[in-house]
Amino acid sequence: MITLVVVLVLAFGGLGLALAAPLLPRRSGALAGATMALFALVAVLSVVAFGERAVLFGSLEAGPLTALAALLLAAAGFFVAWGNLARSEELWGGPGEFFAFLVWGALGGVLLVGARNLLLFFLGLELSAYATYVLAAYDRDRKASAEGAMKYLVLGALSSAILLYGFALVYAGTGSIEFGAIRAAFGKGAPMLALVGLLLSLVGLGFKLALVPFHAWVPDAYQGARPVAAAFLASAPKIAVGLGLVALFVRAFGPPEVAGKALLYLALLSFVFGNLWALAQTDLKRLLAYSTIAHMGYLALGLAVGGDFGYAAAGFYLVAYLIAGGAAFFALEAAEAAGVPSTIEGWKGLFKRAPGLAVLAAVAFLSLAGVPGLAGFLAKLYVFAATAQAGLYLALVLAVLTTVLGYYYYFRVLAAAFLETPAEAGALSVNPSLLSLLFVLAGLSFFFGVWPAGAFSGIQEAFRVLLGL
Amino acid sequence: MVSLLIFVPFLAALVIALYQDEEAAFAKRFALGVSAVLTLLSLALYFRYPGEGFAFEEKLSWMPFLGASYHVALDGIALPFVVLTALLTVVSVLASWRKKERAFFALLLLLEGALTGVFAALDLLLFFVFFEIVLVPMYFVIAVWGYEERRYAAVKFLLYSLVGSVLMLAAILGTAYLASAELGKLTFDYLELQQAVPYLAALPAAAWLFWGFALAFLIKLPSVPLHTWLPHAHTQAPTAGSIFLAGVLLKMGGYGLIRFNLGLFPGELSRFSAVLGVLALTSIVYGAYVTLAQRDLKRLIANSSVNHMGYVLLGIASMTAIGLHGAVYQMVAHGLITGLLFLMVGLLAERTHTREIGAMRGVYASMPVLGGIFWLALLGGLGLPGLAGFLGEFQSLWGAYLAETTRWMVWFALLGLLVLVGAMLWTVQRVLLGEKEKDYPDLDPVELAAAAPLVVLAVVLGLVPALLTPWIDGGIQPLLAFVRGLL
Repeated sequence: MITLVVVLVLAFGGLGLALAAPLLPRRSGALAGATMALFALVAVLSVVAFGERAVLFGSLEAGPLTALAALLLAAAGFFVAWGNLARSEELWGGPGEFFAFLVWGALGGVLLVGARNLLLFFLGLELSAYATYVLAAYDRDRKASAEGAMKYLVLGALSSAILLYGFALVYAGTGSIEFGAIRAAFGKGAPMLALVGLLLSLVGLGFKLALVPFHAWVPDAYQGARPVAAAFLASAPKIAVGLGLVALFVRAFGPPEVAGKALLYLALLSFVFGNLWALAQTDLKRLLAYSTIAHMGYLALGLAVGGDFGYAAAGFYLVAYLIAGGAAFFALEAAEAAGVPSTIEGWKGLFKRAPGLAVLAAVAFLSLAGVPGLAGFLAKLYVFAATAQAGLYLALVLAVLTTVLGYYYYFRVLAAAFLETPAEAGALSVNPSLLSLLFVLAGLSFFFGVWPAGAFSGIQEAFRVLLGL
Repeated sequence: MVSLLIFVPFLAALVIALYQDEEAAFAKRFALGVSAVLTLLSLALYFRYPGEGFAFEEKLSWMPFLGASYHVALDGIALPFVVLTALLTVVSVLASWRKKERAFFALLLLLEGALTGVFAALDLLLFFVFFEIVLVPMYFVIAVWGYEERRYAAVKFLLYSLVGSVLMLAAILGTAYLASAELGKLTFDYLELQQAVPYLAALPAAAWLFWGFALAFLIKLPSVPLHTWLPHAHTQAPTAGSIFLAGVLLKMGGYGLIRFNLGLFPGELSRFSAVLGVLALTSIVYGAYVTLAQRDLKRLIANSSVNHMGYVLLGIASMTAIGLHGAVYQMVAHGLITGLLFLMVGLLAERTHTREIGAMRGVYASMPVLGGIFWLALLGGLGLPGLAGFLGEFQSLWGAYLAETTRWMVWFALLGLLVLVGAMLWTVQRVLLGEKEKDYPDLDPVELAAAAPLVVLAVVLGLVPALLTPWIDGGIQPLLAFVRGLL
């Protein structure tokens, strides 16, 4: 029942924030604070909900996986609300409904992961997507923001349509939208129609996960959005769709061999091309966007390999990416708020002007690159280990070699920040709340990079329950 | 105790990073104190070594779901390198006494901790973690404090090392998962994996796994044709960076070949010993000729390292007790002597503001102490009997002669030895001898203190091999007994 409380808190909390926003003075951090409190409450509740085993109203699963999704999404929302303290008054082009959309985005993700039928799955996905459309476009006075958000919206709608069409075919083939019934039909040898539907839904989810070749919207959307909003874009939908994809495949489609193979190819394409494209970027937001594509490739490799270990590896990857990817965007936000543009050129000599920010950003970039001692390394290690366990050695070699490319472009950023002399002298004043957020995230990267056992076992337990092990 | 050697440097680096200290006056003294204490501690371990197998073992649970643990121990192969790492940290800090950035000293300490971890780790994943961590501080040491082409050299170093190490990661994972079928559980523990060696040898993938490890170590060593990062990195690095690179980083390659390629894939090593032998021979001969052709003094010493590491590889490829013994001895000797050479070149270049051989003359006449030590180091580099380098090269060659596959190579290796002698003596003639051109200040006490331990050890280990030989035996003999039981 606590899962239901989580859903209700998110739904009505978001509504409360949206209604309260116009009443509050512009400069107050009260909304951000209230949002953080709300997410903290959700995080605590979801830890308690971890032990639940129930199905609510026949359509929402109350179990460890739903709780895990709620926990991670709450963490993502908490960090983004915190990161928003730096420029909150400037960002409020509208009346401040920004925060409500963070909450509803998280809610959509929870519903999507916990869904027991195709309808709720789709509704959850759309709710989470709509929230991110708004966040991407929130900086509406900038042309780039409007352009990126428009591309995101159009391609997002297209992918939703493909997904919905796939679901329709699954329904036509199996005669049901209930996961249990679909699974039973697949168990008896899936009809061709339903298999096509399955592949189409994979395409739709591939769009949301930003896998190659469905990635075209990512760089523009990230570049257009404010870095804080991009931090949410880069983490929350990934958490929701990554976990939701597993839940959908395991609960509805049974052991999906065709889909697993298709996902494997998408993964290979994503980390090879994502890393290659990232090499050529000079805009840091585009660089992070392409590197996100590569990271989603590694994540999808874990998902494609499957098994409780492969899924848990992907789950841990989400945790590491949420922390380090988020921190990278918050570092951009901190630099932009201090007047430094998010380009490699602009970041030259950042260490001399703002040593604390540069060092904390370096921790994020090193974790993304996969330097041992930080969570990003272990995330990759687990995915690679799962790949080795499955005996996919060619994919393994390809995956490890492409991480070298990752090192190259992340170190380019570090080289600019630490080795170059700045174009303008003078120390930057970095927003203290962002700096403390970055410090917390660096600490988390380090913590999970050295003591992963607790987190990993929890995640693995969630997937064991899902798989019925 | 071993964990102290690994983690105290990390903590010390953190202290230096956090302590506001404009001119690094505190940082360098603190780094010196910490590394001196750790040197004494490592010497205490060295002399308390029981004489055979692994000692000072520590094992803690780390990632039980993956079969990886925090497992460290030292044997006679690792101990000399652990002492060398601590000692060279002291030397490097002293050699950098004029530096005013505390970050530099923090990075040196990070390097020390990670390198000690590399030599102490008995869990393959833990080994990999330390092996990778080494790259980050080294990258920054070269890229920030190096000479004119430092950025290029640092990136080249990073990329070469990474390609090798990520393939090694794939090989580590492959080894552990394939061995799990035999062992009944997934484990990355070196000692447990050794029980699966016969099973691994029978697998068709054994050669792939062997080369996955070997590639990483051949890049680190480095062996021709994977050596092209080394002249850049060594030449462009600041003095302390060159000392670390030559003194300890290259040793990770030879150490890894003995520990993992010989310890886990002895069958493949004997199958490919001719290939490795030819690589070694090429490194020895080609390295010597390239050394002869250098105009930049620092680059000359860097290239002579390619030749020196060739003997290490040749000794390992022979798979004889004497050859392996020589390989380890040669690595220790090279760490001391080449460390000393880089120190002297660094101090010389600080005074003359050039590394161009053609621009230097009469260094001995103008700076007798610096010139004298440099002279000794160059003689050590050419393998003069009575200095440590001779014993290493001689034993490697002797071991190679004893093994059938590598016997014919020894004759060609002698050619390389001869050419290197010529290169070193010619350097003595060009740089040290001749009329003095200009007066330079000779070594000050701090610089002398940096050089002293290396000079003393280079001589002592040349005259009293009993200070090192029993330790190497304690590591090599059990390993060889294990290998012989299988082949």
